[in-house]
Amino acid sequence: MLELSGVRANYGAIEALKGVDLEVKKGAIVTLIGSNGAGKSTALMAVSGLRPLSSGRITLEGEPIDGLPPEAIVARGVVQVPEGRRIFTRMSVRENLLMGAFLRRDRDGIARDLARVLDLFPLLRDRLKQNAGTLSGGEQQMLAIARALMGRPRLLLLDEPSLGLAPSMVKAIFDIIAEIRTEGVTLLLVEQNVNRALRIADDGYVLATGAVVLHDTPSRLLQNEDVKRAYLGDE
Amino acid sequence: MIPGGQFFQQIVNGLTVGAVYALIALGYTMVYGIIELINFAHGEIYMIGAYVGTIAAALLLGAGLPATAAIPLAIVAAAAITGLYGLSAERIAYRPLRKAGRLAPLISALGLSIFLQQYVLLAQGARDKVFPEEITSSGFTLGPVRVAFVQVLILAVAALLMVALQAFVRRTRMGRAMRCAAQDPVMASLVGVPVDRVIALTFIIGSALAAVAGVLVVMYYGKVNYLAGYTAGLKAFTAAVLGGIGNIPGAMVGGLFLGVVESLAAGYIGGEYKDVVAFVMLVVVLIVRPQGLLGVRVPDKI
Repeated sequence: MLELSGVRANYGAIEALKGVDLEVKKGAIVTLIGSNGAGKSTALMAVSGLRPLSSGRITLEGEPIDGLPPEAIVARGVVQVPEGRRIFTRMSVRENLLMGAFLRRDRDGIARDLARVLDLFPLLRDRLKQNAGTLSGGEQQMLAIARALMGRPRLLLLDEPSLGLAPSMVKAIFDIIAEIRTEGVTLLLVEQNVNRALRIADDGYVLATGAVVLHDTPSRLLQNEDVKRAYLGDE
Repeated sequence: MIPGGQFFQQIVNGLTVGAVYALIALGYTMVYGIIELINFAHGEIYMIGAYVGTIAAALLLGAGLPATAAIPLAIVAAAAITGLYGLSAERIAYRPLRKAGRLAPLISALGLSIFLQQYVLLAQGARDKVFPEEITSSGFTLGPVRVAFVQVLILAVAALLMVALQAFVRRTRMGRAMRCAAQDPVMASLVGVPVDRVIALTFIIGSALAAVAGVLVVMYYGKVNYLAGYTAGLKAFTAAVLGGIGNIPGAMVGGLFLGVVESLAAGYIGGEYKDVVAFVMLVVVLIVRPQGLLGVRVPDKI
């Protein structure tokens, strides 16, 4: 569905991606792991059209999308939940959700999807009128994912969805990721919770200093000595 | 004159001037809210609006239209044409510098301000441009207070535009997009907001509002010249900061507040002191409440 080939991109003065090749198959959950500064977020920002490529190609179902403005990429069904959630704190929860559907014009469909995401995130239902800035970290993450779903994504890019959350919230977020997949959404997941990410994913890539150093099935990556030492810690 | 009468007279005059400041201040505050730029050419945009309106009114009256039709049409024409000036200013002077830090666009704004002044000087001459219809003198009295019709018109038009702007920003899709882009332009892009177009729209709306203010002022004072944007721009900027820069209701409150205080100072201390009082107030507010009257301290973006 999504393919990156030879993608190079800069982050400020440094080259953050040094020729990344990556493929996300339709309907799969693919996880991208690696330490801080490995280029994971830059890769997602490049897919979303917010980080220009210096060379390489990004295609969605065979069609190049690099060079398109971000709104055109959202319009093609590629929606990102960025790191740090970035909810609109000076707007209500409801307005945040409606902003997720900004490019859609089907009023009925938007109303149906609003009901659907509120079923998926019942916590948000009681807070629709509340200012989004007053939500807790976990609730904000739920709102960020719900907002992305309001855009009817075909491919959802999730950047560190569990970062900084309480363990119970982490579990809830991963349950929701599994749920979203059953609805036919393809996912590219960047996570520092490598263990959980690999347990849910169908395919895994390890990124180090801007390049893919490992690509394997999650079960093999979980057994890989280098991965264990670098990312899994002593468990 | 009875002191009480003078007080109310100054309040009415102050609200009139304040409504004009508020209309101009909206352009400063909306642009600042979305790209964190103090658009120092905004005063000149207001001045151009006044010229366009005056010229349009002269043409329409010359064509035989009654004033009741010519003046509203001139206001609309001024708003539309000046909106295009604002759009061009953004395209030419600011957009190429979007990623160049904060200083470069500021210098560009100052350059644009000088350019627009000289452009009007060359095209229209140094002499005052006089509004073709004498409307200042007619009015009515309300007890001890004299109210000119044009003051009523200014207050009514300003109130209408502010209500309309609030409704646009709060209730419409593009208005919401504007608020999102002001809060977090990257995230706005990620939900599909065409941020560049939203910024352009912000310039068009701000310029159109300033143009309406310009036409109203020429009608009130009877004339305009190519330097008129300087003081008006400075005052409106002060109003925007008083209310809390980036905050739309703040610009409205700040404008009215500044107009009234200035007018009372002119009435009770002396006309030559009104600018002193206005800017002293700015300094005091900046010391005591740097976020402005209605501003909230916005935490740093993550």
